[in-house]
Amino acid sequence: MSLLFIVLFLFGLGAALYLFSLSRQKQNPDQKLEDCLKWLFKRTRENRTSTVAELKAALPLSEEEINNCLAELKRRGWVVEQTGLLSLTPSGTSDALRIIRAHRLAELHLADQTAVSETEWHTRAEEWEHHLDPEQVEALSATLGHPTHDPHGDPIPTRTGRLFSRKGVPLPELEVDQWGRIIHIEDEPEEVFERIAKENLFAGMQVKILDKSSEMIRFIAESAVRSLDVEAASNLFVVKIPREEVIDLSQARRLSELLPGEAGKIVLVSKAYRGLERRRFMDLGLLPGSIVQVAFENPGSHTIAYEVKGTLVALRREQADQIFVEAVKEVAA
Amino acid sequence: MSAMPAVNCSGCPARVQHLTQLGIDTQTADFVVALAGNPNTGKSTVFNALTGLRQHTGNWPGKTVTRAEGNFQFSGHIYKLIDLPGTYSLLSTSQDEEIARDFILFGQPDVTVVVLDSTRLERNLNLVLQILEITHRVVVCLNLMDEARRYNISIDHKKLARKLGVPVIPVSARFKTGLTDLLKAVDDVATGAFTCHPHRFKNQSARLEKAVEQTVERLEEIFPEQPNLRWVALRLLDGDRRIEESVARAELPLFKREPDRSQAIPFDRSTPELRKKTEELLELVERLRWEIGEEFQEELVQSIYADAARITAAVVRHGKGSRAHEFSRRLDRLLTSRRWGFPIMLLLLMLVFWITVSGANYPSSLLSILLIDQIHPLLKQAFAWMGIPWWIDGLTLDGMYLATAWVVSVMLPPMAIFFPLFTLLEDFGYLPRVAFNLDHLFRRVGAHGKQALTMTMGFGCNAAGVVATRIIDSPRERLVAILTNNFSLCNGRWPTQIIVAVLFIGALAPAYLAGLVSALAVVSVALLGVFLTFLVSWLLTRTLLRGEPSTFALELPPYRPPRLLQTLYTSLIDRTIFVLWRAVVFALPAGAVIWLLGNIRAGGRPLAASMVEWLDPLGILLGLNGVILLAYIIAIPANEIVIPTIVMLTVTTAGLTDIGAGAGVLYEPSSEAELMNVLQAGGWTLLTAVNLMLFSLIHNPCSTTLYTIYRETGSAGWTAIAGILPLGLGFLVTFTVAQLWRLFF
Repeated sequence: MSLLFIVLFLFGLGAALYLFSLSRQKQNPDQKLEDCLKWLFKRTRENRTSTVAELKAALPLSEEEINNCLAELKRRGWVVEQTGLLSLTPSGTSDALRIIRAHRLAELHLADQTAVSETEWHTRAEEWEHHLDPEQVEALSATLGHPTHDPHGDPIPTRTGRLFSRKGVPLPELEVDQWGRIIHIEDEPEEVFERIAKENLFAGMQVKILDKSSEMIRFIAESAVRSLDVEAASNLFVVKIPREEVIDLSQARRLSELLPGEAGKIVLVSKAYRGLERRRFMDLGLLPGSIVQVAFENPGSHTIAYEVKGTLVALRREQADQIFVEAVKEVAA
Repeated sequence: MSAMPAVNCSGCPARVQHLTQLGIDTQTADFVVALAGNPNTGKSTVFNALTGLRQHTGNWPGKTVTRAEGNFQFSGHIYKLIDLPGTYSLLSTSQDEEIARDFILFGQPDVTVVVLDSTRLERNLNLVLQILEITHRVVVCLNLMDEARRYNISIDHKKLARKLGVPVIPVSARFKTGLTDLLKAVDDVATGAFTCHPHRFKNQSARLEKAVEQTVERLEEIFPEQPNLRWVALRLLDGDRRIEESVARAELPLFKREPDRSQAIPFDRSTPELRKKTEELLELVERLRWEIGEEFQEELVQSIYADAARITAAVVRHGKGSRAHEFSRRLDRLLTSRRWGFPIMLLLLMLVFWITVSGANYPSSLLSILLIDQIHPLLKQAFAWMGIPWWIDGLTLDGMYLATAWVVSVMLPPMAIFFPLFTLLEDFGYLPRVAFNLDHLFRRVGAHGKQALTMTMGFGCNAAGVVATRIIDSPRERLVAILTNNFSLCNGRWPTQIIVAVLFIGALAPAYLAGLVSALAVVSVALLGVFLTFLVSWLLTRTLLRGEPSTFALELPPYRPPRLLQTLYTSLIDRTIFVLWRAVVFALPAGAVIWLLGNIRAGGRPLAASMVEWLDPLGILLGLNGVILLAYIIAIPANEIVIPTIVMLTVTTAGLTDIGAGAGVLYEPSSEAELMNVLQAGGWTLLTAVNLMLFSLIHNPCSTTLYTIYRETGSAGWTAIAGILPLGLGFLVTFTVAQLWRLFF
């Protein structure tokens, strides 16, 4: 009798979980098609030609699947093949842009509104881009405040299918001692991106190369010295920034380094904080120019109360790590 | 300004429509006034002082998660006052801020009163400056002047009014000073006797200025009469969804400079020409967004803050370090110290439970004597005298009335004690410190620090706790908080805990320690709940809700002396009565069901007996019994009725017809000893008691909470998980305890 109950209960639990997981992911038959289209678009953007053989080598699909995809793409008038070279038609291009728009918006949503770790953004968005219909894409864009760049710094194609882009150079090409800003982080291949992610590098950060060899690049990002192998560093794209736009962090300390009673003036909130989190900081007065004083710590010493603009704001230590302050004279309590 | 008579805006249909959409009935009021402000500025207190309503005010950020409204009269006009959620800014896109922003923009209140905390002027001005960009019909209420005096802060409010270009009224809502001046100012602005010339913030980089100008130029062609186009342009550049939609539909609400809005007749905006212009405008904005760069939002906020800092420096004078500030800091250091932080928390929790348990005893038995021993027989006699059939009498009096009477007598006293105590701590500002103290634990399990706040709310009522999770921005962490809120031992479950603890666990101790031991037992169960909150959060953030913890930025409000009488009154009105009412509503039908189960016979036996027999094997396996399980099925709508159901079912099935009023009657034992007899006759042991306490903590949430979870998550899947997860865990825990117990004893 009671066994029956337990079996019934477990069965119900299993069924609920199964239905739940089903409702969260629906398969989309166009997925392979869209993957081919996206790859072709990427090659076009890089001003490279594409052959069927290259396509087959690049995508994890069987020979037959690729052939079917190409046949379908040609039937839809998105791709033409001339003398063995594949190229996108205007309608193929606009469809590719639509998918890229969905992908980058999905990544930004994952980065800003969920707490999915950055190494998973790409794979998850890769699934999403095929499930979102145009209306959902627009709704997503609107909820995110019509962003212009995804979390890797890539431009998001506009609603009308335009793709603005900024020209950046791979980090190793930046001269030593020249300040630059990261504008794009290539998130493929995954194992290379993981090396970049481990160094906590984000689009928008200011960087300066200290020294470079044929294997390693040593550079400053915001205030910390980091090093990357040349392969990974080549996946970081930067633009030069003029001297006057560089925020001087040489005298700055991390907010978390201040001792109780000490005060500092915020010079930079790291680009590691973005989207809604960044805006919350600003709402509470945590932004460049504000004076912050350490008030007290919690019993675990991991959460610290700061006095800012006459209010008490509690932050976790890892957040205070990402806020840079410069010394000020003692402020009156 | 001219002395134009006040115009009741029933004349402009677009606005009435907007207000109706926002749920505001405009028929009964001459003017609509919105109340905005940062969290924790005493906004709700101002609201209560003006309307006489007793909205609950709490001393922690994000209290007003839904909107409250009330009426007041001044100089012959009827005002409708809408309390908006407290927000730090209108630039972010959180739910609260959207509600507030939409109301100020689309609801077009005749006046927007912005409540400021005088002791934190600079931060509060951020919001004022933003509101002044949207509407010029603003009155600034400089609240908490009493606190400012305690902190030795003096504010030149006249100068502030000149700088802002709108009336600024110093107020101390708690002590009801300055309110008449505030009403006068509101009336002046509403009727047009005073015209505001609001401060508009100076602009930022030339690049941004140019983009704004270009956008405004195009906007003016489409909305020639709109005064706040600069703000609209900034919002468009920032990609604000709602603003873009209303521009696309050419429905931007008008804010005429003159108070007389009845003359603003909207012209036909559906012409193809205008539509084309709108399309062009939106494309221009899309392009400009690329030119001004990503930093623009930050530049904007920085320039607003710079303005706020300039104004503050000009009007605020800080006296020498005040004793109030010193005291507050010292208290903070004590309450959050490594050595004393946790002991004080535990001690306060103990104290609250102990006062509740011991204080509720006497009034509970008084109520029980009155409602059950005296009124019930009287009603029975009256029914008999009127010749009412036995089954109506049984269903209504023995079923519904007794169930309700039980719930009232058992629940009212502890609630009437617990809620005010809890409210006192809340008003004092202790709860955010609890969140602060516990933050590193929540961080370690991957949850949000504010979950500590929603967890404490759950001690009152899980449904309220679930609603309170709105203060958590990250959807993932909010779900964690929602799914684990059930582990806060809610108010409906203490009667069970307390009675069982007193009967079985308190009885193990010598008489003089019995009260303390029972309280300890209840506190241990509550602490086990807290532990489970951490454990389940940890499990969830590693399985279903994987991810990194988001940021935690919690404002710690200043300590404020709680007001005893008012606290008692408000917590009685809006918490105790509310929760009690809910319990009564569910007890009535449950009482009927219990009576029917006991009296409908199938195969010569009451239905209840068959069901209990059917559930018994599982019950025994879990160290409980069939009666308890059936009681929990009947009590899905409200946990409060678990104990009366258990007692009645035990009486029915154990054949104890000689005690009490007869089979199937909701039976009220007149003493603890008699209750103990009944339970022992039902085969209860110490194991049954312990497992009942555990199962009462760990089982599915009540139907109200489940419904609230469904409403808040909008997902049947998550609601199902919220139900199944704790139930499964409850089975697991009770099963394990039962097996171990049987192994060792």
